[in-house]
Amino acid sequence: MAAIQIRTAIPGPGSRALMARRQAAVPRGIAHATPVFAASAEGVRITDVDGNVFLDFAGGIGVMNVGHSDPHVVDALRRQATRFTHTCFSVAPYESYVALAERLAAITPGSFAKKTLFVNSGAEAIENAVKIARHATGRPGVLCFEDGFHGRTLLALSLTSKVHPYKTGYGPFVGDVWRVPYAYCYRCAYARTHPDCAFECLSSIETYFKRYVDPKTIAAVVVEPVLGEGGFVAPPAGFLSQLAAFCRKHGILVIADEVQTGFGRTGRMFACEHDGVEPDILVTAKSLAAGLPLAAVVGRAEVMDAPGEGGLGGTYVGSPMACAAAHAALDLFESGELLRRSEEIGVRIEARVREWAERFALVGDVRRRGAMVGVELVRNRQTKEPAKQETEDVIRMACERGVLLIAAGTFGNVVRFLTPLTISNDELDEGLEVMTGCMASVAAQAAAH
Amino acid sequence: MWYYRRLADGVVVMQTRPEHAEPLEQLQRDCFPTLADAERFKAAHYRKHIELFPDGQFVALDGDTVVGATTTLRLPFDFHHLNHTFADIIQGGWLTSHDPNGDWLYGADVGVSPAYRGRGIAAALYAARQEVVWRLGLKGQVTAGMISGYGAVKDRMSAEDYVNGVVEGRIKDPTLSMQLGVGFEPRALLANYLNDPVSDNYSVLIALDAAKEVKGASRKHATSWIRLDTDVPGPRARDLIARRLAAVPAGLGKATDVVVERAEGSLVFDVDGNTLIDLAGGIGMLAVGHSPAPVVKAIADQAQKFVHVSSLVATYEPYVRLAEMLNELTPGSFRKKTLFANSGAESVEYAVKLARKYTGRAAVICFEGGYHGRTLLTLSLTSKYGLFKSGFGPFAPEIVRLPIPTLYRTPAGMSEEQYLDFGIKQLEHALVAQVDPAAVAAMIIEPVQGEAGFIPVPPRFLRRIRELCDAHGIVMIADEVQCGFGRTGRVFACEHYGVVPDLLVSAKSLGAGMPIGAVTGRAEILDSSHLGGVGGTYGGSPVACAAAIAAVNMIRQPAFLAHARRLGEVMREVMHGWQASFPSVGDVRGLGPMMLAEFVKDRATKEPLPPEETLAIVRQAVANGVIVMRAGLFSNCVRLLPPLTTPEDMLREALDALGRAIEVRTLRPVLSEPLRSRGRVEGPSTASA
Repeated sequence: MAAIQIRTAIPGPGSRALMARRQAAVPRGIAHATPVFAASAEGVRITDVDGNVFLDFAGGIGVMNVGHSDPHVVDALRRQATRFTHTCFSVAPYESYVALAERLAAITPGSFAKKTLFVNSGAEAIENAVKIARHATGRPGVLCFEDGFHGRTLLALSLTSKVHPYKTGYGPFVGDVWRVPYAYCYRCAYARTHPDCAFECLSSIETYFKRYVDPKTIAAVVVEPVLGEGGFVAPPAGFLSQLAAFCRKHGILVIADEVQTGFGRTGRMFACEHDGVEPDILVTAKSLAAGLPLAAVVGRAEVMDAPGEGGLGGTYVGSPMACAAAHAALDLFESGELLRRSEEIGVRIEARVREWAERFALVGDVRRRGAMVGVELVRNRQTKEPAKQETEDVIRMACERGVLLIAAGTFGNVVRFLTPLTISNDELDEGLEVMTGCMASVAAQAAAH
Repeated sequence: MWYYRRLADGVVVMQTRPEHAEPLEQLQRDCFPTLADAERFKAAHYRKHIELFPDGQFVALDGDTVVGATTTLRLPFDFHHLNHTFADIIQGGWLTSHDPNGDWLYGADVGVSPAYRGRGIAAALYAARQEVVWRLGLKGQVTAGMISGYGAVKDRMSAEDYVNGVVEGRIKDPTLSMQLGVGFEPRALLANYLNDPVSDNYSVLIALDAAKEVKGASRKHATSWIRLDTDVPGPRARDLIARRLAAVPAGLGKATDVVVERAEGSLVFDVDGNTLIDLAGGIGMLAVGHSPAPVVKAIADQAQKFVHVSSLVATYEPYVRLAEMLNELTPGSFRKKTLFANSGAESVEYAVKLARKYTGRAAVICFEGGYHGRTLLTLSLTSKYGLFKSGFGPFAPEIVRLPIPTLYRTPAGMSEEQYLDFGIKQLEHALVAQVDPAAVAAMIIEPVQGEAGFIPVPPRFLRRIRELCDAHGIVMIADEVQCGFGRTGRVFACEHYGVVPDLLVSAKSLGAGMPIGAVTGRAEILDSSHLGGVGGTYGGSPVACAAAIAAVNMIRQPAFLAHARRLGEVMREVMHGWQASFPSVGDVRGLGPMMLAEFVKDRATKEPLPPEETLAIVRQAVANGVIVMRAGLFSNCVRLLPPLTTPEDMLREALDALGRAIEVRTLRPVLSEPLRSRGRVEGPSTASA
């Protein structure tokens, strides 16, 4: 029984009418990957206002790892709303915040004493992680990576590496930010290949420290274990652990940005686990609270405690509603089934995507860690010229045929998979079949030019 | 809801809420298995009871499980014509016999789950009912007690003999003996009261006069909303605070040691069973109060549909509808658009980004005393260094901070008008000496500065800012995160001034407690971003939008705002009284119900009271049963941010408790521990019959 049901043109009349209202009331600068208006969602399916049913391969940008409208989550929200929606943890605390902090301390890498601060979004969490690192080390600088994305508030944006559309016109940016190439092997900045390169991207940081900045002025490195917006770039095994060792040698704290890679996306609860890395601070958000706005900064107790009382805070932080949803989401991970499924989903997607690589010259690179799979499209496999338009065509076509997808990549040429981890093999195959058709169409058009 | 009591074994007795209706239907079956099904209450009945007479319905809870309940109604009970049946009273379960002017509290039933009997829960339910009697000024409780032991012995003795035996203590009846122990007195034997073989259809009419004390019932609570059964923090609160210290960074501030279990309206119920009045509203987030019914329903309805799809992926109607509402409600008749974020700080970040893009300029002017958030940019715009900023720099470039006249601290030798003139001249001078206006993207200001100490910007100063922005093509950003959404008695503070900003930032009370912030303003500025330049994963969370729509619809009602203004008048009246009585109260100021008291060591020199002494006032207020917070550049103010739905008498009770805290603390500031509130704390041991 097919999950996808397309009854109208996409967008249908209901979506079109609502889009007109959107255009009148809401700034045009907010991108929307699809033109449809959501009416309801369950599991892996989103129904739009015209009754079309889509398979959700975007998960609201990686937020819905536990699936839409899980009854355990919905029930937790309903119950919490009757008790209290907000008191401000800094004014009158409540148990669910503390209990969630305890649970995260237990499941994040590292057996040292940890403390957790909750805020509303990944960007706010990165901002706070940097603040805390600055205070703890007394140093101003932050080391970050090309193709990294950490948020849109000014400091997080300064660490973000894709100029358009994130940064254009929004400067001036923050000082003391230092940027080096990531282990983006497909587009190696040093024109080497792994493992012969012996991680030249890491060893060259030592030279960078001679030419650009004294490492003793750097408080922390901020790094995604797998680049998210940058194109689902999974570095070779060993990159992250060697980076961590290198930084620690210089007294630089390691801040792991697991906003997109966390909560089972890469087959482990946190992506750092693949390399055995125990970051000083781990930042997570997105799938933490099954869709409610919540983010966490989890770190070594002595580091987190550096700021004096009153130095950290915010009004909404650790919203009781979001904490209730997060507890429910964590409950769903407890059996281990979601993590197991994450790897299976990834294997299944990769198998199909490798078939595309055989059939279509459009496929330049396939990258995967767990269920986090990215397909980089190029016009020419030798020159690796990014196929941005073709990527947009695949995504638009997939949406018209019932699969919601989003792109990634500095050049906008990566199709990324962020399906909820509750997706069944049938649903996965159905969506992949649709996408294969789209790839074939777009590849044929590209070949014709 | 105003009744919330925690028994020694952890069972909580509170007024029945709609979410208890379904479990109560099940409890009826567990407690009264021999009753005919038609005589048991169903969920729909319970919802009706709550609607008709919310004060009189109680549940006993073990965690989230309903383990006991009582249903009551008001009747003009006539002891001369007292024959009646259960059916007469319950009217098919709907309790429509309830008379809002009835002078007796009639108990329709009391039930305790079999596994929980013998723990004093029924007695606690009667105690709760007695408090209702006292609060409403009724003559007492009356009920028809089931002689549940009679059915077994009906062949051996008459009902009269049985009842006399119980009254004289010779026979123990599981129900009647307990009721007599609570304090009920038998008045008559009723035959065929209801169909129940367990009592052979008999019951005894029993009455408990209002003059009688009842164990566990607090007479004080009849005339006050605050209920203090333990110290604050009590034992369970202290446990959680210890866990908090171990799990949460030391830098996260803690204004009070109140640990919340539940909240409704303006009342907070803590984990030890105390009831406090909330004058902090989670830092001004709760104009509509805790968990009002329309907001709770909106959240539940939306959570059923979907919690998140991301406005960057697909769109959803609540986002658009809320944007339309804000576009309509905010000052300015030009075309407007709205962008949502998760917090006030993120919304300010957006406003600055858009102003920079729109004007092509970099500099942002902010003002001393300003608070705009804790992300790096907003922290750079924030003024109070020691508490908020220390150790977190370096800060964002191209920020210019200018002074603003704070009239309470007008320099000696100047009138307020002269000080204001001087302040305006300084502002104009800064546009030569500090930054060229052609390089300024935006000026950002809170019309009533929040963290600075509820300082309303002098109208002439705000108007001058508007003029300068107009003259130089600068975007004027009004940060109404704290003063917006009803807080000053109008929907937006700007309305008091007749000043229309280009961009207005809101958050806090917008979402009735859910994380959401907004930038609303001129469409051309909001649209200046290229495609993909604004937006974020969570921004405009569907559940938060749904809650906000319900909240904004409440706030915009003229009656809501009129009540808010009335609260402001009450605050002014009481607080000016403090100023007359307490030398430490240097200034009382604010706008509408956004009021604050500033404490000083000396009224002539205005030397601020040290922060720790102001904190001592806060702690004493909490010990008296009121949640408040500090504010002020010198942390020497106590601010009021209550729900704007607070009933007037509740506000007066809270202000009285706060006034006593000020009095005690400023007369005897050297005491390190808060005092018990003048011996009025009643624990279970002091409230016995």
